[in-house]
Amino acid sequence: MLEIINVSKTFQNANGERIPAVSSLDLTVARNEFVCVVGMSGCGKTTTLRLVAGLDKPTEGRILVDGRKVNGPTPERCVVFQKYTLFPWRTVRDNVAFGLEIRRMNRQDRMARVRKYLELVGLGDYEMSYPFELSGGMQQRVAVARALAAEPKILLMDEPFGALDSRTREILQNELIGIWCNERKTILFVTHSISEAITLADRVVVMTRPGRIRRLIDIDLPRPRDKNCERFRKYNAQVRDLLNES
Amino acid sequence: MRLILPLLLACAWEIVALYLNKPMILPRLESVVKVLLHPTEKVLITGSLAMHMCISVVRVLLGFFLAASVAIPLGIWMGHCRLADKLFDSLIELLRPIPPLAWIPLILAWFGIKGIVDWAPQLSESILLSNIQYGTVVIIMIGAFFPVLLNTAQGVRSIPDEYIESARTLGARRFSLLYKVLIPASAPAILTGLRIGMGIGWMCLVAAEMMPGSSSGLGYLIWYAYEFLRTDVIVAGMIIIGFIGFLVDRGFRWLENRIIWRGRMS
Repeated sequence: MLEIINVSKTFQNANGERIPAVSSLDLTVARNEFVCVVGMSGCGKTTTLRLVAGLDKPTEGRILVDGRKVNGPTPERCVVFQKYTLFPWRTVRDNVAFGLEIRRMNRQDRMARVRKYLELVGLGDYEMSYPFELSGGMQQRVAVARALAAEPKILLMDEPFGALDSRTREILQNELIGIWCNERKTILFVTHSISEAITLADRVVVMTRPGRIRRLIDIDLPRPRDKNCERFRKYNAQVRDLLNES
Repeated sequence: MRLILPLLLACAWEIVALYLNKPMILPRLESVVKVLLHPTEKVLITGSLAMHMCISVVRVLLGFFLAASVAIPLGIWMGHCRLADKLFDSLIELLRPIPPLAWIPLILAWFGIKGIVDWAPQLSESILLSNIQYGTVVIIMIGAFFPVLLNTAQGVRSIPDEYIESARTLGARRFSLLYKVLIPASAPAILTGLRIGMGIGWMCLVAAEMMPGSSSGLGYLIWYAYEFLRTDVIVAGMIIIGFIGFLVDRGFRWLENRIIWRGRMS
């Protein structure tokens, strides 16, 4: 459903030099697949996600979603960022309703959908709270609900749990897997944490500088995944070696 | 507690005034209070204190709203669009350091003592509107314009990219982005700009009302009272100008606390 075909992206730095962020990237993501992109900072993984979101334009190549070329951001490709991006002047409920208001969905349907997704992330009781009253983990749950409420074809996640403590992070990972199993979403998830990628993904994309895919690894483990089992650790070592080699 | 120093000042003033016994230099407190307590009576031969006050307030409000209605949209545009920022920035930075009062001669040359009555003669019946001269309003506008503009632009500029990008991936386009993200996100900064702009506009008022052709307003009253050495009227006028400025500032602060969202954008 998502095809990235021979995509390159170069940025110009302050001296006018062209810096490649992504070079000749090819990747296909199937419907309902959960793909994690893992790599060290500066390897182009966030750029890749931004290109898919339509927030940046590729210098070369094409990105297709269901055969249609990506041209600018739309709610069919919602993004959850690492930074907290809930609108502080809106209640939790109105934050989740944001995309639906813009689509001019009527109030009744809107509220029903907001409730559904807030309950899905376990925050049904916080409709009228403001973001500043919530912990970081709760804010990211609302951000996930806000993106899901737009019912995107692909959910794009850019280190969404990167700012959370490790325990909260694990809880949210499990919740995300639960949501993904029930809702059957296509998810492209960017992270620098190897174990996070292996915990979540059907397939891990290992990226290295300058914006190349080093390898695609299918994670053939039943969920929920045990971080201490032998095979998990093997995958972990394999990815780490790939990242260290470069 | 807050009243201790103002009261002390009043006492010291009264003592010095009694000692000097020269009302033309320092009026007694009671004579100032007497002027303040009779706001509807004719002061000197120019009309009542209340009338001068209303005229001044209308002038400031008019100049302020005109300034805000240009500065807010322009500020949002400059804050959001880098090209617009580059386009206007140098011009604004050139004009901004010029004190509003330095504009007075030029504005007199442009508008003379014309006012809205020259444009709509039927308004001459109204004391309030027949006293609105273009020049005065333009001076206030210049004073109020820059704080509103700069605060608005800065407010929009400081919205983190992720908020705007989130909104765009949720489907926000031009107008929905403007009304649902840019304006509410920068509302605290805009309101601060309005508060400062209003304060500066109010400060420019007195000077603007001293321009030739002005025959009303608190600034005019003070100047006019000076010609008769009526320091009691001068001080009464000053107190009212200060008090109104204070009230307006408080009003804006109240508004800031009431309608502005809490928390912050990271």
